[in-house]
Amino acid sequence: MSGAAPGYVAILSAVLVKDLRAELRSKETLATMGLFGLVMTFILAFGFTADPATNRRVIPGALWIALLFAGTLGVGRTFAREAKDDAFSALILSPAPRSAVLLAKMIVNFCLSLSVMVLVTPLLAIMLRVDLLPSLGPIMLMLALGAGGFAVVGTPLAVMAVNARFAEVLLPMVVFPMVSPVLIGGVKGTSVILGTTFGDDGVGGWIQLMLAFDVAFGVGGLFLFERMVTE
Amino acid sequence: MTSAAEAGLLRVEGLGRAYDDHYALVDLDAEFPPGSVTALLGPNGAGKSTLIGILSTRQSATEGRVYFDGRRVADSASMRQRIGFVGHRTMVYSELTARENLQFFARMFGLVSPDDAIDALLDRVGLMRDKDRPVNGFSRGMSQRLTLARALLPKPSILLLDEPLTGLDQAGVRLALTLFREARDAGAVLIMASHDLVATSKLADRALILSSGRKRFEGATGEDLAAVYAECIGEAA
Amino acid sequence: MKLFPVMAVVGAAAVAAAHYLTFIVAPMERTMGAAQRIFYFHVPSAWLCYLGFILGFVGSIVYLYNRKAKADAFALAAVEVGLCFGLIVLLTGPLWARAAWGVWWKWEPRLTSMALLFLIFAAYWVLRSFGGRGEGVRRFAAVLAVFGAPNILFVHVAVKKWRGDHPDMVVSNGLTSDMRLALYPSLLALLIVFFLLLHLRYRAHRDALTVQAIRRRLARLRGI
Repeated sequence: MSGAAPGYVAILSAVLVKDLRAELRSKETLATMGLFGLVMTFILAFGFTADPATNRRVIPGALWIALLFAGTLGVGRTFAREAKDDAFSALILSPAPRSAVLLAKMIVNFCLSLSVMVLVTPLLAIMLRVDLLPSLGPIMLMLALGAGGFAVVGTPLAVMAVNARFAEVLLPMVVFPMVSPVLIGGVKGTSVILGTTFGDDGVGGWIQLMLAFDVAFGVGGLFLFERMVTE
Repeated sequence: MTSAAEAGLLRVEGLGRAYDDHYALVDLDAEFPPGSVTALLGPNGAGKSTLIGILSTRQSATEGRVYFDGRRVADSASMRQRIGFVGHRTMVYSELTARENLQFFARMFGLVSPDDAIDALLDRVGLMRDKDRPVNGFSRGMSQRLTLARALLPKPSILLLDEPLTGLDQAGVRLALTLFREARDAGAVLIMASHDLVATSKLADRALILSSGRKRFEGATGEDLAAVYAECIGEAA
Repeated sequence: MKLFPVMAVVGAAAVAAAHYLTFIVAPMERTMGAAQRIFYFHVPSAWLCYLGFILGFVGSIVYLYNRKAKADAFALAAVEVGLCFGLIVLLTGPLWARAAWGVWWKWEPRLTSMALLFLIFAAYWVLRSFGGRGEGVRRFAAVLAVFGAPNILFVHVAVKKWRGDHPDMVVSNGLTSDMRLALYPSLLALLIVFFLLLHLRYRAHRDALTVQAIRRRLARLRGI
């Protein structure tokens, strides 16, 4: 039995499997986030329901607010597990490439917030009586890019937030303005898809912007993570 | 270039760590030979945790260098490959079972087919019967036994122990000391910070005493660790 | 050290001169009247706000790599001064909007971007002020600044695209030479003020650390 420097992909999948297994066993994150998604759907429906034409105009905003809140809940939760008995220290004290650990965490957060949106999107469509079915694919793509943007920025900041007092208040305060380009792009892009706004270059420009955001901050975070977690 | 004298030796040179308003560690030169156990002693705030933190690569030094095996430790990842760490907290995942925890950390260390070693180690720390139970049902002592197994699994050449006996009962303390002796006899460098002078003196053959971030004593100690400590720090501390 | 009083006097004179140029020399703008004179403070302040955030970014990167309290104190000082100028922008912006378009807030791309960036760095400041004093909070804040400053680009592009229908402001290319005569000296004056403030805040943070260190040492001496 000898220790060879573990490979990037091996670490990535090990951390993902570990998180998935822990999640399936406790189910706490999925349960709380699922219920939270339901509650939020009702609140948003109460807040925004109007005539059909107006509903079609406001549903992008409702979807993206839902994503923002789901994402905030998710990034806080996934890191709480690492912080509980300080297993995170053991994780980053292992020879595993630290950026692989961060990337795995980003993917977990991305999946969590996207799965909440898979629940919320059809429910909102039913409650606000907007037929999203014809444009479901593009809308989910936008939401995925948004969830990605939230994950790449929110995950490293959530890791850092354990050091601060009022972490649970601070985190949204810090992350929301940071992801504003993605939020703007998402809301506007979704309206373009639904035909309630017309941009100069359609939805493509927004997709480009969000993709660029996800890649830039994802790569930046991975690059800096080593320096971030060293005390 | 690894000279014979430097093989397996952990050495720090001019090590310092500044925080914004104070130094936690000042210009520390020290050596930790292989096959030895160094007791790291000092009052609260002496810099023990900072030193262990820097050696573990969890914290960064603001001055000075760390050498291991005659080479400057620059690439932290390869250094981490050889370090085992036991801290105040259990550092295991409570939703996973004892076995799954060890399997996970084995993968983090890139260990090849670790299953037999895991079982052997679980048996050693007395968790064989509970190996498939999730850790959140464990007592503090059982979790601490598991964390010992976690640290020892990759057969580290450097074992950093920050209050490793926390939560252990008498049998647990005896077991831990036995495991540490075995690691020492295998040629590892052991550094142990603990407030339990009695247990520490059973194990340590050397001591490094710090106070206010400065070295007060370094060298071999006899049986009477407490006397050396009292001489350096004073009874009150 | 000797430089500071000299620069303080020069700065004061420069600000006075900038006022003179702004209110006396610069011509009255035809459509907006006197309110257009906001421009001579508004625009340089926006540039200096960005400068503050960018210097905060630089200080934070340096801090993440060398963990020296000096770098952190510099980053904090730069962000604080940047926020100060940002506040000027966000207060004069609505005044401009009121005079030019009759509303207090218009979703004008540059002002909106500034507001979003202000929020990001306001979060930095709140974190530093109330998040605790430990090393971990400094690190958190540094990461925030490092992520926040490049976000200037994304926020800019997004907001601009969002309000794509809105034409660029007339002022940016419709400057007469008299207007330039007031704009650049005003920028220079505020630049001097910027560095004076930066120096003062930086020194204040350093001194606070020294005081803390002395307190700590005293407490230890008293304790033993």
